[in-house]
Amino acid sequence: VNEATAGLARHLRTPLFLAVVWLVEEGVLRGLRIDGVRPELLLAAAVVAGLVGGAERGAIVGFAAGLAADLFLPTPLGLSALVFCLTGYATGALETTIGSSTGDTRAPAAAITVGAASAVGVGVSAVVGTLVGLPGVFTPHLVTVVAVVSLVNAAVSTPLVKLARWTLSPNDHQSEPALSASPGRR
Amino acid sequence: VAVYQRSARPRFTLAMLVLSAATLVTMDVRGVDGGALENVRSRAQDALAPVQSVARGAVSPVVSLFDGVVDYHRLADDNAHLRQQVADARSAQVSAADAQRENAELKALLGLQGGPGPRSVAAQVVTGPQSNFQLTVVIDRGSAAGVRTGMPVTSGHGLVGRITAVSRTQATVLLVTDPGFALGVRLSPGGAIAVASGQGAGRPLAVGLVDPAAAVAPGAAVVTSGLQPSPYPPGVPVGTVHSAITAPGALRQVVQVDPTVDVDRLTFVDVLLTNGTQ
Repeated sequence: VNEATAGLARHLRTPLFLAVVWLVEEGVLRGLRIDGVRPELLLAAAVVAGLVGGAERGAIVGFAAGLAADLFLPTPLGLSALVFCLTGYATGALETTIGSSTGDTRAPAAAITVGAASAVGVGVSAVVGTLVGLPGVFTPHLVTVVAVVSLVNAAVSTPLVKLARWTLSPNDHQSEPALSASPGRR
Repeated sequence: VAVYQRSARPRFTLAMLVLSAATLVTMDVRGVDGGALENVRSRAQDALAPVQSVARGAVSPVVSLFDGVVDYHRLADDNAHLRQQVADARSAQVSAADAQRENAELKALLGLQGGPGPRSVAAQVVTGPQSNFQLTVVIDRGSAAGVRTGMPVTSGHGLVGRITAVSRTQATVLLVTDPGFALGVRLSPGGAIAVASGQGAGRPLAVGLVDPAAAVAPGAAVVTSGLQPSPYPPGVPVGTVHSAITAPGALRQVVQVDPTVDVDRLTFVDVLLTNGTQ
């Protein structure tokens, strides 16, 4: 019974991880704009999931995070799910390939990875958004959006990584572990 | 075989998720879901509205402090600018009052009667742009207050935008500065009709299809044309002409218009309860 309860608790951690980030973004930070730009913590959650849990977990969490974001956006439903899913997967795949070989597990490295991956995610959002018909996406303001989103996401990466390590523990998944598998990252 | 399965599973999962997301995007863009996706969205927004309200109240002092620090220099400049505008407005008010009196006398003389304006519902802006790729705000009035998609939204200064999505308790307003926003306008003093469209945050509106022979001077007023089938009533201030340039041999003027409404600092707006045809 104890094992079953523990297993259930483990499986509830991932939705809990997303729920915490979602509530912070949609509830607490919903009115916050930095130079007219809205922080995208759910994108950071997808990136961190890839970083900590590997490519598959990054894709799954990214899809769920994007879908949650889409519910409150005027853009087409599924757009963020598509972009976050790809970003989470790519981060996990790159982390497995590059991160494991370098063994660099310090917080600054994670912040740089989260910031860079978030910048790429915003860029991919702009491209996909334009493809589905959003007008005027590629304006000078896009540079500000990329800069603000990547800096904010890099700044929140440390608590997000800690939260993700707790929710996406190695026992909770079978795909290739990335950040969490390296001893130096604990 | 086990190694192959381990490496192939993430790719298969990714493919399934990408396919699902792409299907959702296609259904939403093409509108083949019969409004089901929009219904899910509006229910989710209504469900979370109370949580957002509580959270907003809790963090608003922190957000205000942050805004005050970040925007301090801008506020000082705005203060000086607004003092100048107040002085100009007092002068213009005198002229406008006289013009209104003259207008009323002439209408009475010609037997003309202006119809009553559309009813409106006041609303508070609860959040700024939700997406970094579309300029929208969310207001705290929805279908329960009679708000419908396509209705024009104004503030005390002029046109703010139009309603693009409605839930029971909230509505989304597409701002006049969004690149996807376009409307028919009338330029003073000649009354030339043209089409204005947004160009993005912090940028003036672009007015196209302006006859090169039309007299358009910087500072001239631009108002909604109100021509059918526009959902906007005539005469709502849109902006003032920033510049009007006609290149040699060009068939139209390039006119830039500064919006009268500062869409970055909206607090309260009016939704005009028209038919909402767009």
